[in-house]
This record gives sequence, structure tokens and C-alpha cells, in this order.
Amino acid sequence: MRYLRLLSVFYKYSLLKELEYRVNFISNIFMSVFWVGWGILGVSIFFLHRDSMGDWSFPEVLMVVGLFTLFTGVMEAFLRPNVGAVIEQIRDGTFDFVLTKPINAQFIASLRTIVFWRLADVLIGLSIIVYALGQLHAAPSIGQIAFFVVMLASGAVIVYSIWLMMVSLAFWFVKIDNIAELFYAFYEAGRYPVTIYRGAVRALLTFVVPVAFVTTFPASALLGKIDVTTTLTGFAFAIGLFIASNRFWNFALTHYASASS
Amino acid sequence: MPLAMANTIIQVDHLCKYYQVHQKEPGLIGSLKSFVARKYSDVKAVDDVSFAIDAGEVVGFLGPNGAGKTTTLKVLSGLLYPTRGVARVLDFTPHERRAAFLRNITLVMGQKQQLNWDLPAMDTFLVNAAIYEIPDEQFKKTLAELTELLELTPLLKKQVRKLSLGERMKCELSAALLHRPQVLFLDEPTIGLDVTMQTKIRQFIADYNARYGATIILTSHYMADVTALCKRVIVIDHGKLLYDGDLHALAEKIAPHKLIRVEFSQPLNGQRLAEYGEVVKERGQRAELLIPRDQTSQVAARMLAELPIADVTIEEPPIEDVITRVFEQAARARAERGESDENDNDE
Amino acid sequence: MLIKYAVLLRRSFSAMLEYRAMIFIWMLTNVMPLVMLAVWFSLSEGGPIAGYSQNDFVAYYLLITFVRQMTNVWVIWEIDYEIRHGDFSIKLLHPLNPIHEYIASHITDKFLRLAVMIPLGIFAWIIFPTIHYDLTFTTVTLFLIALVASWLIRFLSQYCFGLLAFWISASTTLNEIWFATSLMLGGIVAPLDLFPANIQLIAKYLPFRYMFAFPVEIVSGRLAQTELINGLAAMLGWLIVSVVVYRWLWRRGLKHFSAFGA
Repeated sequence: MRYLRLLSVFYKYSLLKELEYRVNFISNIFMSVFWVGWGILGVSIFFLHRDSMGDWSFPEVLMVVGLFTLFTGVMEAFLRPNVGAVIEQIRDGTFDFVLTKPINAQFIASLRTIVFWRLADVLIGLSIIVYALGQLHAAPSIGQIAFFVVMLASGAVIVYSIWLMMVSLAFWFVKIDNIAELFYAFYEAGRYPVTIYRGAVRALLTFVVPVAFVTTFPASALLGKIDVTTTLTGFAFAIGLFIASNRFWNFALTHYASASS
Repeated sequence: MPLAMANTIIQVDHLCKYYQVHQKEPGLIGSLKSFVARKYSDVKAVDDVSFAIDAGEVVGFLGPNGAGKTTTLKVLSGLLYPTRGVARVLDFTPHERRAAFLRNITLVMGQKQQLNWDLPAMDTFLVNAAIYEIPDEQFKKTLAELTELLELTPLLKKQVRKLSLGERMKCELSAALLHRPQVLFLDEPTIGLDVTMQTKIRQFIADYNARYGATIILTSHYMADVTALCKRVIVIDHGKLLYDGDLHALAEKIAPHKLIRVEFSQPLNGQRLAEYGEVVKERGQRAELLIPRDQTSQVAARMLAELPIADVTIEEPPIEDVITRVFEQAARARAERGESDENDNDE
Repeated sequence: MLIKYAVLLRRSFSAMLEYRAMIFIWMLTNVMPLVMLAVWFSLSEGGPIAGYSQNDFVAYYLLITFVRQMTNVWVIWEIDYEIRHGDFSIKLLHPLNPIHEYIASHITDKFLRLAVMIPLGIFAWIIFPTIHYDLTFTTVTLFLIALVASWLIRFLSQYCFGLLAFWISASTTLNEIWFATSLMLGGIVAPLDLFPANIQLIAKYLPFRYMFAFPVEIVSGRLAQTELINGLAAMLGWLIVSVVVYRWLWRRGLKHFSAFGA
């Protein structure tokens, strides 16, 4: 409860801060739309030559694109700005001020700022999902929606855990701004259903850089392509990753040597 | 040492903090070497330091850059884990960073800021009020007091980046003190400020100490900060504690000389001042000489008898000079022991 | 000038070697072509797409990955940072056009990338022994020339966007649009042969093809001689345009800078 109240305070001031830069606000929303447009165009090129991608029809792939966009928004709105801020704070030593505050450092470090305009991506992603459902004339059952929600939540937890681990690395490697770029490079593969990848690549995208859990599996859940076991595996995987990332963060904290004055 | 109160707030026993730093030779070859295999060496930032500080004391930490002052402050505020030894603050082990501990301390660093650059300081205050769970009543009261002491009114609604350095420091201090901490760690709080602003900040720290009985550790490059605020100083150099005690006793203990300032009633004709002592300054009819402490009165008497003196004062030499002398002596001692002097890493 | 470059190169080498982990991470961020390869590879399982077999996709994307690595440009982020933090004004005080410093650090980067790409290339050859390029003295020579030209076009165009920061704050956004378009029409998302014919035609006149795909097409053996010559001419044209625009913007920028500061 207390932490929820803090979040609302944090987000209020993030919004105030963003409003200081109104021009960026508009040009950035334009960019969101632009990138989504390119993404869909890219997919259409595949369907120019083939009727399906790894057994997924065009609207089904669109749903994956929708989820990809949605999670891009989640990461860019909630996670990336914090990673950037922590890296900068570690570099210039002001992370000291985070550590001397009487609340959980992981909480401040990973959730303190939000970039509101990036929630536009979340909206765009949702619209694509709804549009795709309409194209499919699909009315998901309650069970499918339940699976979808569980997979969506698991996806969010997985994404959070990955970003937390990336922040933690900053305690060792101060110049690590590009780690986010690295993650995005792999995340890029999540644009398409993971079933089109073969062998090792698919395993990599499912368990090492688990983007499959973030985009393909929730879409599968909504389309009824997934069973209880997979859903529960996904959920367990998310919990496991969350615990691991928390441990890693605490371990990283013990290595923090604040930058010199 | 005379103690006003008997309860110990800060207890440090045989504290050590070593760092590993990677070393690189200059140039391309050095870069390639360190690319392949990095060499690390231990830097003893704090080396077997012990002291205790009681409630309400204002203690100055003195030492050149890289002496270990900031490192000690960081261990005490829970930012760094000690390599060895014990640090206790308010009966907590700092690096456990318990909420109850953090609620009662604060850390101010003159070179770093916690205020958000893009927003007015007031916004950071409100965020801190939420973080520290300061009740509304108390927040208003504290803010009113701080506003009065620091003349904050015109500053609170301006974007932080539009404030001058001194105004920003006032706001930094306020942000750090909103929760009324009992223990203040102030690292170079007056750095870069002009003299008037330094005086104001100093006055404020003294007021805060008097008002709340807070315990304060202060590091500063400006001796004036220390002489104005601290009765007690702890001198650290190369991670080792060189002196802990009364500021003025330090001068007596370390400085083997006193300073004699004389004004002559007429220009000297040929008399040589150097035979009385070490001449520090001689300009027109004024001069300053350093006289060995135990001979001060004889020499002064001789000068009065032999020279056309209009006025004479005998003083302790300026504290800056005394401190410099402490570090010179320590360096010489190290050199004699054959220790290297390259331990001037960042704190 | 040569001596200056020697000094600049040495310094940027030293600086980059300090951040060894970072260099590898940056290299890994350019895996997007490989993602596209994986997609096309599986799509072409059932037979060639527009004349591209699985083998052809592998050959195409491995080489375009190499081209993308070797023409990598990031100068706009440095310019943007330096203009905002005032470091750029310091560079303007040096008796050397700041572009040379950036060029030197980009050259250094290419050497480091090459050091990683060569063993990876050999490794790829072992995994895919069947991939084939049309390697003659002429094509290899033209490939190398085109590679340098691609880099120059990418570098100069991004540098121009960087210079726009003197006037507007959205310079990096414009660059992002430019970059996204170059991924699409430069042959990264798909070889240009896979696009509808009218888009293919337009793409031949736009600069994007000459930022990524064209060097690869030279050694793919798919270009008829006239296509090759037309392509080279277009590439040269875009290179000249880049230089002219850069020089013009630079002169205007300096004037603007001395009048308003940055």
C-alpha cells in the first residue's frame, strides 16, 4: 500500500518532468506510430510470398506484432528510463542518494521514473490485437482469456526481471548503456511467432532470452494454441526468473563502490 | 577530552576499507596489455581507523584529497561495506541499511545533487516527504523552519537548473534535512561557493546542530568551515588516523612554533630580523616571524629591547599551515619507512 | 594531416580498448539481419522465394551482416551529446575540423570489428559450406570500393542529421526515421528482389540501397552488367550529394554557431 502511494508520487513527478519537454512528446508519439507501421509493412512482405509463417496466418502474426508493440511500450515506459537513470547515477555517484533512502533500493531503482508517452505503444499494441481478433472473427473463450492474462502477467514479470538483471550489471561495468540495445536486438526476434525459428534459435529465444514468453505465448493463449501445462510452465518460469533477478540485484549491491567525489 | 554528553552515537573500531583498482600504463601498448590482462592492486582507502563520536558533537574530518575522508563517510552512511573492522551508527550496522537507520541519517555531498534538475526543488521535497513518510504537519513545520533559516522562499518554485550554485546548495541541504535526521554526514558542503554563501551555510549548520542537537561529521577543504563549526577534528591521511582531538590542541601539539607579528615605529636600519627567527613575511614596517614555541617569550623580550617596536602580538600560526605541516610530517615519516607515496587514489 | 590522423587513431584505439566489454556488446546489437535470415530461412523451406533458395538467403544475409558491421555509424549520438553538453564548442576551437576525429574513431571501430568478423566468417563458412558468391577480381574490387562508399554515405548522411542539431532539437528523431527507412529499403528486412516491382524501381533511385544492399548484390552474381554500372553510377551520385550537403550544412552551421552559439 505504502509502495503504491510512493509509485503514484514518483509517476506524478515523472509526468511533470516530461511536460517540461513538450516538443519531444509529439515527435516521439509520431515515431511510435512510424515504427509500428514499418513493422507491419515488414510482415506484409513475408505474406507477399507465403500464406503462413510457421503455421500462423497474417492476422495471427499481427497479434504477435501487437504484443511485441505492447511490451515495447511497457519496457520503454516503465523499465528503460530507470535503467538509464541508474546507470547514470552509478556513474556520477548520485546513486548514493538512492541507497541512503529508507525504502527498498530495488523499488526506487527499478520503478522510479516512467515515460508517459510510451504508453502510446501499449495502446497501439492493444488496438492491433483487437483488430487482429476481429480479422480472425475469433471470440476467445473465458479460459483462453484467463490463459492470456496469466501469460501476459508472466511476460511482464519476465521482462521486469531481465531489466533488473541488466541494471545490476551496471554495478560492475559502469559503461553499460548499450546493454539495453543488446536486449532489444534479441527482442527484435520476438516480432514474429517463435515457431518459425528452428532448433537452437528457438531454444535460445524461449529460455535464454525468453522473448517467446513475452510475445508468442500470450498470443498463443488467446488463439487457443496453448494448454494448461505450457501456461503454468510460463508462470513458474516467470516466478523463478523474478527470484533469480532479485538475488542477483542484492548480490550486485554488495559490489557497489560508489563513484569517488 | 571533555564530553558534553556521554552517549556514543558513532563508534568506529579498527575500520578498514580496501579497494581494488585496475592499473593501466599510458599509451597503446599499455592499453593492449590491460585489454588482455588487467592488473589490479589494493588501495587502502581507510586503514585501521578507530574513533567514537557522542551525541551533539560537530566533528571535522581533515585530510588531503584521497585521504579516506569520503570513504569513511560512505561506510558510516551504509554505502560501502567495510573490508574489516566495525562501524556502528545509532546502534545500527550501517551497511545493513535498515529503514530505521536511514530515516535518522542524511548524507550531503557538495559535488553531487539529488535534486531533480528539471523540476523546482519543492517537487523533490515532496517526493522525499513521501519516501521518508513525513507527516504533513511535520513537513510543513520543518519546511517553514528551513525556509526561515535559509531564506528559501524565492527559490522553491524555480527550476533547479536555473538556480545558482549557492542557491542549489541551500535546497540540497533542505532536501537532505526534511526528515530531521539526528546524524548528518556532510561531505564538502560548501565547495565552490563564494565566501558570503559559505558563511551562511556554516551558520545554518551551526543553527541546526544547536536546535536539534544533531551529531554532525563534516569534511571540508575550507579550514574556515572547520574552525567555525568544529571543536573537535579527526585528521586522516593515506587512510590512517593521524590525530583525533581538540582543534586548538592540535596546533599546540603539532606546530612547534608560534607566530610573532611586529610593527616597527621606524624603518629598520640594518638590523637583521633573521637572527630572531624564521621570517615569514616582511613588508615595510611590518613583519611576521616564526619562533620556536619554548623560546617565544625570551625572543619577544629580546626583540622589544633591541628593535624599535610599536606593536607586537604573539599568535598560534594559521590552522591551515598547521594542517599542511601535519601532512608533510606524515609523508616524511612514510618516506623514511620506505613506503611509496602513490596512494593518492580517489576516495 | 597524415600525422594528425596517426595521432587520432592511436588515441581512439587506446580509448576503445579500455572498454572491451562494450565493443562486443555493440557488435552483438547488430544481429537484426540474422533474425531476418532466420525468418526467411524457414519461409523458404518449401522452395525458393523470388529466386532465393535457403542457401541464397544464407549467403545474402551473412554478407549483409558483414556490410552492416563494417559500415556501422554512431556519430550522431556523439554530436548530439557534445552539442548539448557544450563539448562541441571546445572541438570548434581546435585547428582541425571535428569530422576527422569522428572519422578516426569510426576507423578504429572497423578494425576491432574486423578482428571479430574474420573468425566468425570462417566459422560461418564451416557451418554453411554450400554458400556461394561470385568472387572474381573485378567483383571483389568493386565490393570493397562499394563497401567504403556505403560507409561514407551512411556516415555523411548521419553527420548531416547531427549538424541539424544546431538548429532543431529533433535531429536524432529525423535520423531515426532515416535509419528505419534504410533498413526497409536498404535490403535488410528483405532482399530488394523480394519487393513488388514498382518499389524495387524506386529503391534503385533512393540512397538506401547504397547504404547496405548494393555491395552484397555486386558479389551475389545477380546483377546484369548494365544494372551493375547503373548501380555504381547511382552510388557515386549519392556519395557526391552527401559530400555537397555536408559541406553546405557545415558552413551554414558554423555561421549559425558563431552568431547564436550552440
